[in-house]
Amino acid sequence: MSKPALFSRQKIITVLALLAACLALPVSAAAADLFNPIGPVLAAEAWHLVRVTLIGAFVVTPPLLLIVFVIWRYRIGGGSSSYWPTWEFNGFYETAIWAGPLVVVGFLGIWLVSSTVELDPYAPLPGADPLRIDLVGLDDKWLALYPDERVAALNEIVLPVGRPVTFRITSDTVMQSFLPQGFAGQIYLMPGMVTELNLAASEPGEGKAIQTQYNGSGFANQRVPMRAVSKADFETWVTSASGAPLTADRYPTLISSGKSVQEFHAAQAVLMPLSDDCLFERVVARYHQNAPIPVAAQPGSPTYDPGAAPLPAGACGALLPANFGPAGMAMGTGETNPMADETMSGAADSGAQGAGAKGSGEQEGDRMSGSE
Amino acid sequence: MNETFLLGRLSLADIEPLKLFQNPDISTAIGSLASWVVIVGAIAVVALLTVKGWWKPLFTEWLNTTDHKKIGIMYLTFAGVMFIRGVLEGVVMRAHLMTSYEGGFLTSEHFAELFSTHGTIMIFFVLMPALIGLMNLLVPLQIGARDVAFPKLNQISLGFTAVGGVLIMLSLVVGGFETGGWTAYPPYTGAAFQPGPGPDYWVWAIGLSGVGSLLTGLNFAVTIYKMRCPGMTFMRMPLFVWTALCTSILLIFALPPLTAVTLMQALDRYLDFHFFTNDLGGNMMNYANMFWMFGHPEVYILILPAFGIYSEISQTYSGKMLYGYTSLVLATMAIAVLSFTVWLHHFFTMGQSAAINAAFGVATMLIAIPTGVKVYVWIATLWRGRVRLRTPIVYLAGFIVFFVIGGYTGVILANPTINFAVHNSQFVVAHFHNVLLPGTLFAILAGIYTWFPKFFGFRLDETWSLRTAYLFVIGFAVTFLPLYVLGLMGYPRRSPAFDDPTFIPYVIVSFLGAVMLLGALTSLIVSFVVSVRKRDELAVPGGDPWDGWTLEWATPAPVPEWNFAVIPEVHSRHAFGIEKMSGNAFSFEESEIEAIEMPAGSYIGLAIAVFGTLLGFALVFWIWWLAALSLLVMVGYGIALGFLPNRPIIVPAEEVARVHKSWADAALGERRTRREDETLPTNRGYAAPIAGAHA
Repeated sequence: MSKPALFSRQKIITVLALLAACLALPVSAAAADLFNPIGPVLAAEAWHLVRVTLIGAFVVTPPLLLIVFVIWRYRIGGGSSSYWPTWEFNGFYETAIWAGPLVVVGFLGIWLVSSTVELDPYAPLPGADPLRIDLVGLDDKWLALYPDERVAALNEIVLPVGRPVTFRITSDTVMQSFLPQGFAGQIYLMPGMVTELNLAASEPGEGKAIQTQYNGSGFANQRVPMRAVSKADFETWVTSASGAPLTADRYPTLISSGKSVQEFHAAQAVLMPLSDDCLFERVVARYHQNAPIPVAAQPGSPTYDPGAAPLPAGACGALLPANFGPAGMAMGTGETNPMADETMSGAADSGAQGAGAKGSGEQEGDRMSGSE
Repeated sequence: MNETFLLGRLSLADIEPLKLFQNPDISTAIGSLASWVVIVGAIAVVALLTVKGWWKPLFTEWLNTTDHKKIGIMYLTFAGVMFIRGVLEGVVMRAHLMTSYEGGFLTSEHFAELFSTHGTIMIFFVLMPALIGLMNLLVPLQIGARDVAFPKLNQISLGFTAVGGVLIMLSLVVGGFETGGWTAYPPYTGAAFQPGPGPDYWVWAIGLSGVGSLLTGLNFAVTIYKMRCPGMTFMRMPLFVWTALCTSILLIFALPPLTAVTLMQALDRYLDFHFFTNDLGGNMMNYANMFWMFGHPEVYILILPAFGIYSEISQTYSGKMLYGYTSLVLATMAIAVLSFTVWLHHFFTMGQSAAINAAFGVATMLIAIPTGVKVYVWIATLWRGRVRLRTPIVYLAGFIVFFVIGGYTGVILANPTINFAVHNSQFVVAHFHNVLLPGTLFAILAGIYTWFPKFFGFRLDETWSLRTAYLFVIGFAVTFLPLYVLGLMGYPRRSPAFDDPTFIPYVIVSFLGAVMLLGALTSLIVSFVVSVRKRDELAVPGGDPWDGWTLEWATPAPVPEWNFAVIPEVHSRHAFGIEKMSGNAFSFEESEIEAIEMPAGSYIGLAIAVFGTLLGFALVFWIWWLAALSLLVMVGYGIALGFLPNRPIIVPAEEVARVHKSWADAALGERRTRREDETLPTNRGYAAPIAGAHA
């Protein structure tokens, strides 16, 4: 797609039409977003936003009105005869200004805790047999692997309505952030580490998979359609995969080479058969080889060379250290999580646990211990 | 990459001004033109100094001074220059974003450089030095001291701060800046992904200026603990001094993690360490934690002194003692402590457990309590006062209205669940501009208006100052409030382009706001020019143009080098105001006046600035010999300082008495100005006593 002129007639007309029609909140666009959630997680987050906003509006309105009133009422020469230049304390007012915010914050704090626990992105949603999607963030592309369906979607994410989805997410470049707009909130993805996100679609519709952490020239391209479709349509979509299957050997060529990333172009969606049992694990394992990685072999570097950056080969079970989480969906080995209380280097120090993610059945205590 | 011994990795391709002549595209041309602005600006300054014959006074009265007032003025001048660049960058970015539906006129990388320098400059080289400048001007005067505890160290701090600013200016001319934002998160800013000089400029600009900030913190903490005049107990200190104390403590504790993290990043980039790299166990999560362990207290380093300024303004311009002093002190201290417990809210989305997120979310919300108390305290201070609608009150009103909204969106963002949806979006951009502009910037501008006459001897023109204030307040609202909507609609921050046409009206409105802010900046500059021209008419030799409460107003304007003829003794919180009420403000015993010993000048600050800049530049371009030489000079000068003779300047008692007597006599004889008339030329800085008080 060629870059449109700065001030094309179409643009000007669009602008004028929109200016006339809107600036009123919120513009109801066709795409799903925070105002039009099509998943239960985002719907709950949006509802929490609404109630916090309403409570907050009650609290912040008095000072807004008071400051204007007081300045006007007590302006010099404004006719007010009362002037108390040495008044500096009133017990009742003092109690009120401390107690008021305390009560409101206490109230909001309880909501904060309950909603945070309830909407933990790692907590699986109700419903049996979640769809597994392994998401890899590449420079200006999303690669969604469906290990059970054995397909790989580039620049498009499709999910069936009504079935919970569990994402495992990693980056094969610098740190990124995945925002499944219309479905749920976002989570970071980091090379060599796995984060998780659970969501579902409650009705058919189209949102976006947006990358929100600036990472170079192609940043604005990494916003691709994320569609919720009926179960039947999902089956049809899966069977439509065509062309050469995605293998570990072919994978490096999907990655844009360094600075040749084109700016501001519409991403092209591709659906390929997937013929590697553990491509996702290989991508994670790339950063756990106990050897320095040459710059040319690091996706995202300006001198990246697909020929110099093969993914680790080998049996699926031997790719990652034995203690590498996450359990439950673990590296081809089934349900157990032998080392739930250990995480990879760094995660423990930082109080975060991007790597040692929680398995589906784990309790809170395990995750906390993972970060101590 | 070709390296030479003499010039390291510096090559002709790094020289931005040349690019204008190499058939550039529009994005490159804009960058190159900006570098020409720096060059022409520098030449203009040199020419002005030469034509006016200001070189000698520059070196003998300013660059070698240890006077806290002159150092404060230099901090503010430095911040002003950087502010001009920061605002212009903001306007260019908003212009780009207005046209960036499917791509604007800048390249992604150029846009990224702009948001990175804009953020770095505004935080580290505008707001921080401006506040430190005001602290320099006011703290010694407000606690009744002659100078800060360590005057030479003060100079050194200024030198280090200047290094950072000059390095960023140099990056515009040679080599370019990094593109990872002001936070410069690795691995994107690591050597594998940005091998060029950009991230190194960031490392050394932030690292070296951070040393200066840390020393400032130490200096002011000691000054406030040890140098208060007799009778100035902690609970009699003006509120601004309290906030300066909290800020100093925050500087001491918050800067070390930043310095450490910049040095770790330097080790990664220069010596192939693996703290934050993708391979060999590097983990950028450690960077995020350490950066924000600094970064969140930094927010309060920027806001607490602003709260102090608003406290002073509310009592001065309402002719009324500060309401709820104790509450304000407690609230300030509470905020300072809590500021160290909330850093994780900058990355709720990094995958940690719900329990950790909830704990940090609640801690963040707690800060709303003391902050809410403060807002009500300021309103109560104005209540039953005689509020003059001068420029600072316009800023104060704009501050309270918009800061309350900004705090409110902060409470919204403190909810991890909501944060998941709007993190990294324009909502966050709107939020922090919403607290930093009305919070800090307006306070600095209101503070400059209020205290300018104290140090320059004449007031600022009221008409132009008011215009500036209205333009800043309205321009802020028009520019940044639409971004809240854009954020909720899913527009990521730092995004050089967008593909959703429904964003377009908002970016247009936001650009119009940016134009108003540009107008505000212009108006601010005009207000200075007009005031300098009218300085005789606006002169306030009495030094008390606004009928102030605190000690700094009990001196002539401009303040003599020694501040106070006799170190004052205070008996209340509102020392000067109470004295004025009782009619004793200007009485003094000539026999009490003694000769005053002032510290001698020094060039250590200048040496740090010059050789620190050379050190930074040499490290950025791998010119090792120059780096070693510069470091040697800096350390050597520092050691030599201990051996150089230290000859303090003695000001004879007669001279002190003469200056003081002429001021006090005039104060008793001069016609006093009523508050209604304070913007008239008749306001010579002698305030009429408050009339009609019920107490």
